[in-house]
Amino acid sequence: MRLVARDLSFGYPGGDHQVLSGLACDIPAGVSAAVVGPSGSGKTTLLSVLGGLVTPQQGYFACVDANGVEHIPRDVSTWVLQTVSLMPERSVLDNACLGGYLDGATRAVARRAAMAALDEVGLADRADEPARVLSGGEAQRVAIARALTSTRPVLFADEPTGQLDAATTSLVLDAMFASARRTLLLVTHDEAAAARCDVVLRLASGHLEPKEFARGGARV
Amino acid sequence: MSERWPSSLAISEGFANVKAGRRLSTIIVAAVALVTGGVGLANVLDVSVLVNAERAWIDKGAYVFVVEPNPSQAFSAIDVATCDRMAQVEGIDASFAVRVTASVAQPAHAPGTHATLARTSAGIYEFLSVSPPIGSGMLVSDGIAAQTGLVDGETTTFAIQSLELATSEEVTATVRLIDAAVLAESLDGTYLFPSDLTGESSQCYVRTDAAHADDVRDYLAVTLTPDQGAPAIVRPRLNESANGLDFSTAFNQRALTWGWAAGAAILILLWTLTQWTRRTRDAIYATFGAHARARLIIRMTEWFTLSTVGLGWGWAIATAFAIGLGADIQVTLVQATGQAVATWTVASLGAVGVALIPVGTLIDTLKDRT
Repeated sequence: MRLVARDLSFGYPGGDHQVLSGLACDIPAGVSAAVVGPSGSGKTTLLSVLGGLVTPQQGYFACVDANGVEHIPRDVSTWVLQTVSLMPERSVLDNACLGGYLDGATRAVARRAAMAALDEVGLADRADEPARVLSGGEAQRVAIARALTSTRPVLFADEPTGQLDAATTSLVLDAMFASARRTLLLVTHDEAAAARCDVVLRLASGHLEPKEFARGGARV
Repeated sequence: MSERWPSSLAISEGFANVKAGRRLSTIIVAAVALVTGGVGLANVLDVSVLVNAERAWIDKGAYVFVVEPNPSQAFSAIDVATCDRMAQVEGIDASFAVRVTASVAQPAHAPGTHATLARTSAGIYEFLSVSPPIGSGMLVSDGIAAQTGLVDGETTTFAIQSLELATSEEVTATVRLIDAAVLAESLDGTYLFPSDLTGESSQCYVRTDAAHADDVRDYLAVTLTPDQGAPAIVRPRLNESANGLDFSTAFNQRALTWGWAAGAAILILLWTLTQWTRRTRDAIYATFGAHARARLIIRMTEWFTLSTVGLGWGWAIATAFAIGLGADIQVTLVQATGQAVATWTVASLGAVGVALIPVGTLIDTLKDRT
């Protein structure tokens, strides 16, 4: 699924400046793209706009499938959020099931998919434990499993390693890149994490600038 | 794939959250129990005080009218038959006529203890809630009983001496002890001798209730006034201020009348704080496709599951404590149930309102900017 944005502008209500201003990008299907930039540059806002969590004041963005059919990104994407995004009192399996519910799966189908996803990230044996007992790295692997439980072809990841040490970051990224198999847009502060993506984009002054091209051929 | 986040899934998520969040669930159940039970119990005790005070007031003669002839007219009297018929009028519980005689009576076994004899119509038994004996009866107040040694149910001979005619007679009657507080002071310390009283009497006692008091008062003044005579005097046995409370308004003027609202406000505040601290969870659900209706169902499932258990617990505590403290069972059931349910109902409406408050943008919530 290709991710396309053109002339995208967004400012928070009551804010005194545009966080995103005339932004454009075109990320090919199956490519992993990292968005980097200083704090406050609007990385998470960009992800929120593309993911449909907030509505831009202006611009066009869409996901385009192999047949050229456009989809609203929110309808074809799933998320890896920050570590705090697990429900601590619920079990690891219950948390992972949410990805399946996003697709409209029944409870039974979601549980099967979630178990498979947890197996992929190496946490199947901890499925029944409450999420609160997990370490930071394990929690984020659950968040990845939750995203993978969904079959949606676009994955938005918001600072998935932001609160982790270097060793754990590596483990989490290994899990995510090994099992993503879909278009990935990764917002991160972590240069090492960004370097593992096919393309790295820098967000500055509300625009995306190509920092580095690797394998994907994304255009901005 | 089926419909995303159907109601059944949202409900099961709500139950799962209740089950998983044991500590918070316990706190909420306990809080609901404490508040609903506390409000219920406080109202039971408060209303019981009022009910007991009103009962004591009624026992002393509230809603009792004493009708006497108009003193401006010589030889005026109350017709006994008319007085007795009052008990058949709607709104009047009981009535009897009484005539204080110029005779004195004393038990044959206790000479020197004579007291004034008053003859009454038979309606006095119902008026005083005393069962009539087989044969003649003599109603005796506690004071006379203490003086003469008479006991309830005792059949004995009384010597009756007329002070006007200087004659005497003996009658055998069964003693019935009575609480004479409801009667006028003029009858205190007299022997009350129910008999086939006919003709005229000096007083007519009529007992009604709060709902009919005003109508009965007007009715008595008209009905018990002799033809072409001066209006009979109808006066309440007790002044309304005698107890210091106006019972017709006292219930609604209680400080705890709005206790259910205060209790509901506490629960709504508690639930609001709970939802605020768990707003991240709501944002996660939204991010993973749970639409507003599904999220509302999840929250309401949690609230109704926990609060219903708390309500039942609180009601049981309030009822048990109230009955243990000697409160009237009917008052307990009505007040504990009514107040607890009112508190819970309003709190539930508040919980729905809280669930409808937006949590801000999802990304703000997830990044803890709110």
